[in-house]
Amino acid sequence: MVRHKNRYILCEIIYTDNKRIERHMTDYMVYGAVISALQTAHGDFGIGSLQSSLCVKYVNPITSMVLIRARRGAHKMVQSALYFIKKIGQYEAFFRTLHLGGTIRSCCKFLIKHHKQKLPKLLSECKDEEERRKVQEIISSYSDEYKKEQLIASF
Amino acid sequence: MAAPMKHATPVGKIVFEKSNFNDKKSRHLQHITDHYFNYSVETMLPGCGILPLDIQMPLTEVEAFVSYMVPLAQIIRPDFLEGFVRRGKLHILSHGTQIDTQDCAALLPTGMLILNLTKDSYEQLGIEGKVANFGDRKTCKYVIEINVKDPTFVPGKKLYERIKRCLTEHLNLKFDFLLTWGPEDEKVSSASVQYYFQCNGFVCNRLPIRRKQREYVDLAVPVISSDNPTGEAECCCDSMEFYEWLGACATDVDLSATSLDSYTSSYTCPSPREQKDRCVTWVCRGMLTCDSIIDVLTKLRQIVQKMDLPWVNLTVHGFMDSPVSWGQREHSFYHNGDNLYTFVIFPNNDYWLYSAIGSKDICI
Amino acid sequence: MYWLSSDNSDTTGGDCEKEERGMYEKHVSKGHLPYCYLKVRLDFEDDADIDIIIFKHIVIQAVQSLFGEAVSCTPIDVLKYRQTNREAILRVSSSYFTKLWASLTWYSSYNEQSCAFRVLQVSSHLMALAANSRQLSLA
Repeated sequence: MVRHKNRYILCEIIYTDNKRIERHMTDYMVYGAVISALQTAHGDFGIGSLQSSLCVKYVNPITSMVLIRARRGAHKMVQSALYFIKKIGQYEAFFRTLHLGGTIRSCCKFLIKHHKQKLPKLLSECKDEEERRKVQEIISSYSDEYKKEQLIASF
Repeated sequence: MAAPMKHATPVGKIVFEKSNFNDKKSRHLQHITDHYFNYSVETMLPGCGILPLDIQMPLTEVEAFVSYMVPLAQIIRPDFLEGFVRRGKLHILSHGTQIDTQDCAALLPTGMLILNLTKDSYEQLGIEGKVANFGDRKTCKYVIEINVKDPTFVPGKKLYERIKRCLTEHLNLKFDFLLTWGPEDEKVSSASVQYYFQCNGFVCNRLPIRRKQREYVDLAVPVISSDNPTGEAECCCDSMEFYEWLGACATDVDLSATSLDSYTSSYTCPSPREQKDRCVTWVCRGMLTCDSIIDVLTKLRQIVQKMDLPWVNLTVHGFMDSPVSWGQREHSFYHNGDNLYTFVIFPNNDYWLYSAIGSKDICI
Repeated sequence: MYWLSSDNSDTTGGDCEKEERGMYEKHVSKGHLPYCYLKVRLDFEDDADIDIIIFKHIVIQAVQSLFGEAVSCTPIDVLKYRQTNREAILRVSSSYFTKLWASLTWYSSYNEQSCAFRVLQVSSHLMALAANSRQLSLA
């Protein structure tokens, strides 16, 4: 059997109103937005060649991260269609592509790394002491891990 | 995908040549005589109101005939070979058979009988040939070449008898033939070939020659210079843009109404251009001989000098389903069966020659 | 060599060979030529009155529905149109030629009237569309 090769596009949803609140975002809404953008940009041909492989694998309404699967080769059509999305469900929003990976695992790795890098920024946005302490704890554990890795690598 | 398809087969090829009629090595005559089967001739005379009568003469005098359901064995009968094939220039081409899917046959004035057969017919016939250059596994075609002008190709010889047996007993190939005959002896009429077929019980009619004349008033004509085909200097047009413009005239594209901001078309006449009060184009269709085209070319060369025209053009279209294009080069049909050439004749005896050929044809 | 010998085995890329000798010049282009031309006819089951603006709209619509905006933005020129039999000559960049042909093939109805495009002749030389020897009439 020949393996079906896929590409996973890891995107961040950026809401136009820029409010940091939790919203009701489902995979079905994202799929609908992508498929209609695909129809206008690439027509029946685009839909036909991606119908079987296009799938929204993961949606996180809190961090607004989305993972979209598409067949390798045709994924370029999805990528180009993503640019033209201005509305997802009832929200005014657009996608920002973070990573293009061959497996979910590689996307997951990237996502963890991405979040870790975001932590210092969160620290500055903390409002009370409790939150600040929590974030600092996470950062220090992460930096400890990082130091260990560096130490191992140097041997 | 939205990306343009760069790896698709090109639809056609073009050869551009620039030379002078007085150049000893100029091959313009050979280029015309090697293109045996000519379907249409078209000329354009910019700045000339009335078409000179004498350029029409050579083409209207051509006598072409069409004969229906003639078995191939008829053509290699000894009386026909003696009477016509060996005594003049005989052009025969099968009509109504499409070269990409069906059997085709042609007899060149050199005496070469060329059969372009499907695998089925080739195997039934049993004459040795070779696989055609063009065509994939599905539409495999075979080419058989027989020199019927060879002095040893006479009854009693082994080769003759074998081919005769194959054509009569194995597979009786029948075609509708278009034919022209130019006898060596001037006293003999070229219509005697019609008489021959009629005597042998075939329907043989004259093929009508269709003429069409178009006149233009106030036409913008691109300015070209014979020394500068690439159009690097800004005083003249690029030869390829000019060729497209000639095509636009030939297909009767309305050049006056189109402007750059038009919704339907962005095509405009290439610049620099000049306004000509009157232009005339003339088309002649049927089955035309090489000799008559050479006559037209000679007349056009005289006219361009005598009437002081910037240039004149002569376009000759070949038959799409002819088994050969130039000489004995194999020809086939894929997207199209283009084999046409265009002369642009300048008053200083320079000429440009465009040969436009399809993708399934050999570049010359 | 006076004449440049070449065969057609090499069909990739826009190769152009050039030879010059005094008066004589020769250019051979075997790759893609800039444009492709299609002679098409739009057939309706019942008769329909289509003018050139609507015809162009239909062509764009055909491309739009199959390949979307990504392809329909390419310039497609209607060089000539005859309203009596709805026959037209289209010009398109040769890299989009296959897609245009495909879109025309897929097009099936306009305003709920069944119709079909017939591609009559295809060439990369506009001059070649001036004559069609398959339409030679014998009578």
